[in-house]
Amino acid sequence: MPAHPEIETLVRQVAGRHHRLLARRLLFLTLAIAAGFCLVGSLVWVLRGHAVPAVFPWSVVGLAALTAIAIWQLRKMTPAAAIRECDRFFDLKDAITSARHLAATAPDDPATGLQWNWLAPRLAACDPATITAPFPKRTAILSGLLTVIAVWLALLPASPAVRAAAKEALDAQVRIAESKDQLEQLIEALDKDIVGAEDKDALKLDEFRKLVKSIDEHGDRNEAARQFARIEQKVRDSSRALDQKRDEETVKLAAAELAKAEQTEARQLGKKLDAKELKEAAEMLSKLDPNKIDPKDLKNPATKQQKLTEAKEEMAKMRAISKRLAAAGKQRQGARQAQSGKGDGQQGQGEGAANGDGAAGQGEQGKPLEDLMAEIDDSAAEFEKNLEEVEADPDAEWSDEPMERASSALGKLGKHLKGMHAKNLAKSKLDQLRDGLAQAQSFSQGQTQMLGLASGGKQAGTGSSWSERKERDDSQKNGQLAQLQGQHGSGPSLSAVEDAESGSGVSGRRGEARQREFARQVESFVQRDDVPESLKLGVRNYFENLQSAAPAEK
Amino acid sequence: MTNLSEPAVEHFKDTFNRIRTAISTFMVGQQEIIDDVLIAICCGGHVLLEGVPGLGKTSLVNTIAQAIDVQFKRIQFTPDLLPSDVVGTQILIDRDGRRELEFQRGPVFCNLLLADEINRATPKTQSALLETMQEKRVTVANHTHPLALPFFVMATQNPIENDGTYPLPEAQLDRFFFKLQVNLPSHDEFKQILDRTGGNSQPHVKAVAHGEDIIRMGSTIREVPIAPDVQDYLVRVVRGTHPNESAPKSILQFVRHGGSPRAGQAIQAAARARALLDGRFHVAREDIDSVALPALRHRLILSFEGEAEGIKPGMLIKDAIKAAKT
Repeated sequence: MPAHPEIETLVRQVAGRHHRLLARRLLFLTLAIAAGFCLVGSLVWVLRGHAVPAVFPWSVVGLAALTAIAIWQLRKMTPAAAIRECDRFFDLKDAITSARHLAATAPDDPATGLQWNWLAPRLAACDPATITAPFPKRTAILSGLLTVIAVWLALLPASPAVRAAAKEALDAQVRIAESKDQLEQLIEALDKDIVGAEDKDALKLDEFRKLVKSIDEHGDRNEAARQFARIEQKVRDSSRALDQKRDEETVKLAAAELAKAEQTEARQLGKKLDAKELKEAAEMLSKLDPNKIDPKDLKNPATKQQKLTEAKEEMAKMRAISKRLAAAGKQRQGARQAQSGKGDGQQGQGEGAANGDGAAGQGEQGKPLEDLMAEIDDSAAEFEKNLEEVEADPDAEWSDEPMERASSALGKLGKHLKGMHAKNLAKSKLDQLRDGLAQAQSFSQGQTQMLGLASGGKQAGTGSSWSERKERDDSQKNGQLAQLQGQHGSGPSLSAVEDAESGSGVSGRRGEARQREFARQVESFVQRDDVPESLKLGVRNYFENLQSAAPAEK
Repeated sequence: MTNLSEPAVEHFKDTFNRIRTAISTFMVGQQEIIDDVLIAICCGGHVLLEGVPGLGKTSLVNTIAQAIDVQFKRIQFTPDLLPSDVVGTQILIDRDGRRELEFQRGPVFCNLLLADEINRATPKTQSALLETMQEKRVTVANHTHPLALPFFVMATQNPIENDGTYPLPEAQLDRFFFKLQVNLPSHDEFKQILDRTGGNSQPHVKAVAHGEDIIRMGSTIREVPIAPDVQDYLVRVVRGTHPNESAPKSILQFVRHGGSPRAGQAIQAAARARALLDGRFHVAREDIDSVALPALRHRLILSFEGEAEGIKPGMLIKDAIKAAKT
């Protein structure tokens, strides 16, 4: 458009002036709004005791700046608006609009000349600098005030409680992660310790490995406690499934009987059983297995006497052991029958125990251990009888069957003992794992300062405090060491001197010990986070009252 | 190519000022009315003067006629006035023994016609002025008789005496360039009127212009350029008086029909005259604002609600102008 350059210059200057004024107004307005927003947001954080995260004010300021720029761009004057503003502000009565139109459409028209002659002197007097806008004093003051308050709020630190909670949460996460890590290492170590495939199957370590892996490290302390408790429960259930108390009692009886035997082998076997060295005991039993006798050797009188003498010697060893075992088995059976013959009040409990033992104590083909022992004795007696018959009657037929039956019975018992050994091993490992879980749970809850599940000690260069080098109290493996230490220090003494009347009678010492054990177990159990505080207090008061109560007068 | 020249503009301003001065020797105050009447005359338009009796409406027209030195006629409209009384009629005359019909010219055959109390005539008589005002000619008995130029009608009406009156139909109202409302003079003006008219000596208004001057002034006005942006504004103002979607709320509520394109023509012409009078050679938005009220107030047809509420068109026109500015 061939407009007059003076007009274009003026229009450009006026537009620029307006853009600057608009920018100034927007700046203060945006600052006020952003500061107000920051203030409100910061207030929410501060009132809740938190420190304002740095990203909040910066993101608000960034967003506000972007919005302000967008608004500035959108509200910038168009050229047409700038022309109109020139006409309006300088009171040129649409002269610039008309001049541009005339210059574009009829530059040579006399009217154009006349119009320009009218406009030119007025245009010269137009000064864009006279376009002013009052300084937005109120907005500026408001934005300044809001900014100062918002900055102050944003710089306020978190409350001590929140800081402590945050630190605790972080600490809990670290502890959970460390517990998880050490539990995994423990499982790996347990896995390495067990060589036999049967033992590994009994342990089901893969299941526990998965459970440990599934522990959420980022959860809070309560969630971690729940997760550890769930795993611990599973481990306990598995451990309980491996319980073989009944067989162990039978083995104990057998060990006692064998200790009375005159034969060295029998006493050694008894010692092994007493020491619960069941695998070695099984190997000893396998050595008792009599050598096979070839019927051809029996036809020759020279070899017959020798073979029979050897067999008799082996038989004597076997009989000495089998009789003791059978006696132990009978004792056990007698006890079982006596237990099953008890009244209705105890029947449920007895059945429960019997069932529990039965499940754990079933021997080979589901036979109890005492039956296997009786079977050995029966087969040994039969074998002995057969030997005597063959020795007494030269025409008597030699039969391998009694010997094989005796051998089979020995094998079954040996296998049963080996199975018991495997279960014992698995149970002990599971108990280790359970102890580890309890310690990990305790450690993750911050109740203990150190977790030493993994072997090998701390990494090089990592020190430990004096308190962490204290001796571990293995009597308490539930991980609630902190609480138990408190009991040691301030609680009532657990030791007591029994005043027993002279003569025969039943001491109450055992009962009190059971009571204390029970109290410890229950108090330890209620220390979990998922147990209500009122219940914890109630349990504690209950046992304290029990301890402080005077015994009833007889 | 326009013929707008400095001498033409000077002639316009000079003549306008002379007429205004001449009129002011008799008329007291009413400067705005005088300017608007003169603008309408220069633009070749007709004016409807509305005011209570005794405000000097008829005197103003008489004075203008004296100042311009044009043929002036006056018709006092009454209910029994016939169209033939306005435009003329054929009469049978005996000319040298031959009887023939001859057209007897009515009072419209003049340069300046004062239609006093126009709303007292019947619609039939009022409509007799329609062709005259728009086409500036009279057709009687299949013969068309052109009127002498310049020709303009100055009609007066009384807004308060409605008994025995016939309100002008919209079509006739639209023919009027301006509708001016003559208000009561101020205290000082009142005293001056009494001073000037109370004595024996009657002020004499000299003729300071002629019909040709008026025609030339009209020609000058039409040469004033108007920028498209300003013309857009004018159109927005006129269209804004119609109750359409973009109209202000008051227009939507109280107006049944807004200004016609003829209103736009009147505003543009009057705005050009205003620009020249202001010494400018271009039309500004403020020129349009200043003439919008007299050009539009009689062209707005109020709705029933508007009539019932007694809404003044002036308020609606201001709303339309305000809306056009945004």
